[in-house]
Amino acid sequence: MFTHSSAILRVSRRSPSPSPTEESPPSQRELSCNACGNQCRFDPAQEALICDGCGNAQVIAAANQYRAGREYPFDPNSPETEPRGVPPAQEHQCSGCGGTVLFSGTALSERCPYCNGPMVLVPGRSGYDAMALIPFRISAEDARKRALDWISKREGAPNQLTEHVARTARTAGLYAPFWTFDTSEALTYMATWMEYEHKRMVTRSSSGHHDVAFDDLLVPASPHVTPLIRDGILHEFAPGALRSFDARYLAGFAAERHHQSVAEGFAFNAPDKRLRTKRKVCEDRAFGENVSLAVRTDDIAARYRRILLPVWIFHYDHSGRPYKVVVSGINGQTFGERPYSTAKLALVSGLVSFLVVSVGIVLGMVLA
Amino acid sequence: MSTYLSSLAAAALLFGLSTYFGVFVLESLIRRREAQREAQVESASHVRAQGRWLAPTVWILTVFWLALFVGYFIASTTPPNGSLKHFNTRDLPRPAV
Ligand SMILES: [Zn+2]
Ligand SMILES: [Zn+2]
Repeated sequence: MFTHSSAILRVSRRSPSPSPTEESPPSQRELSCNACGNQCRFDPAQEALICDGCGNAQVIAAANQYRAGREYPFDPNSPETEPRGVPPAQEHQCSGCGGTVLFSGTALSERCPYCNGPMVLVPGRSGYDAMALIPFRISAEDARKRALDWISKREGAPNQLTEHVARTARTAGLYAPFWTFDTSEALTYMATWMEYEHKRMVTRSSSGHHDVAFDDLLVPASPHVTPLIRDGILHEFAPGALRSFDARYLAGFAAERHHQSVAEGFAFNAPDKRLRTKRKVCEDRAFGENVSLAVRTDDIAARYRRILLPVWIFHYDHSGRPYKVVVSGINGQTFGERPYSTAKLALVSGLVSFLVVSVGIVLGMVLA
Repeated sequence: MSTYLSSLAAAALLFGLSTYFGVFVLESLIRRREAQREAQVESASHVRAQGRWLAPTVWILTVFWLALFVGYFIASTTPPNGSLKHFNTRDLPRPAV
């Protein structure tokens, strides 16, 4: 598989030590107040652990940041050596969607952050520790304001939707698991398209080799992280904001641990990556929109990083259907699902229909 | 009389169907517009925002052509004196035997 050795060498030299070190998971003692012993929560505004009992604040000193920028090489042909570990506490598993999360410190809510379903305590499932994360920067109140603002700007939404959401929405703060992948790929492509030539359609084709590289491609590391989250709010992800994993940032939030091996992560995101790869080849080779393209990977060199990204998720119901609005915990970018008012849409549709039908009939009568 | 009623029914039916399908067209138009403006619609799994004007254009054009046909039908079944009430098939010239 590895015939394109220059890419491998280039990648390996940048990251000489291949084995990720084990990170200590959150211990309850680490998260407790050093004045009164209460459980603390991470406060995005002060970047500190806050004790709601006595008001004590412990600023989290950004100590050793070397792990935040570090990436690990992945060789699909050799076995993975990354250590798996069981979390120190019990995990919560959702009886609705099956997602498992870890709540540390004083959590806002113990319902499923992904689907709002009821959760039950289960023994910690073996998984992988994240290497880096971006701490929450947007507070719960700020996120709520943004979510309501987003809702209030929806066209064709039912009346009083904003008030309804403000009254009933449930908020969840979640550190969602993601991968960052750096890949450098040697491809063989075959492009086919139709063209007019002397008044008849002819099939044209072109093939060749092409190199495609991705840097810090952000892809979900769990089936529970929906496209709503990644494509909706995290498309401006900047890897420079990553910090080395520190369990104290998780205090008061839910976090889903990494459970995919690197090979599983690649397989899980293969359709998405294939689409991006094809788009890149089309762009680089200036192929038009009507080109059908087949690509074959001759060789791939890859590096990865397991990270956690902060997301606020708002759950609300409307006419018996569940909806979600997600707000990025990094920059407040907001996107979501919303109901439509059939009455409002029917009114617009009726007006347009009336206009088009009457103009059509009059014109038809004139033409007759 | 019956042609008059049936053309009226055709116009009403066209209006009703157009309004019904228009609701879905408008909903998908808003959804695509939101996705295109606010989200990154690059991934395979996400709603595709490309071609968001296709469905509304097809809707309007289809309704317009059908309405044109209905209008043509109304005009061509109306006798030259313009009064629909007295129109009767017996008034049509009989084919030569
Ligand atoms: Zn305290
Ligand atoms: Zn769930």
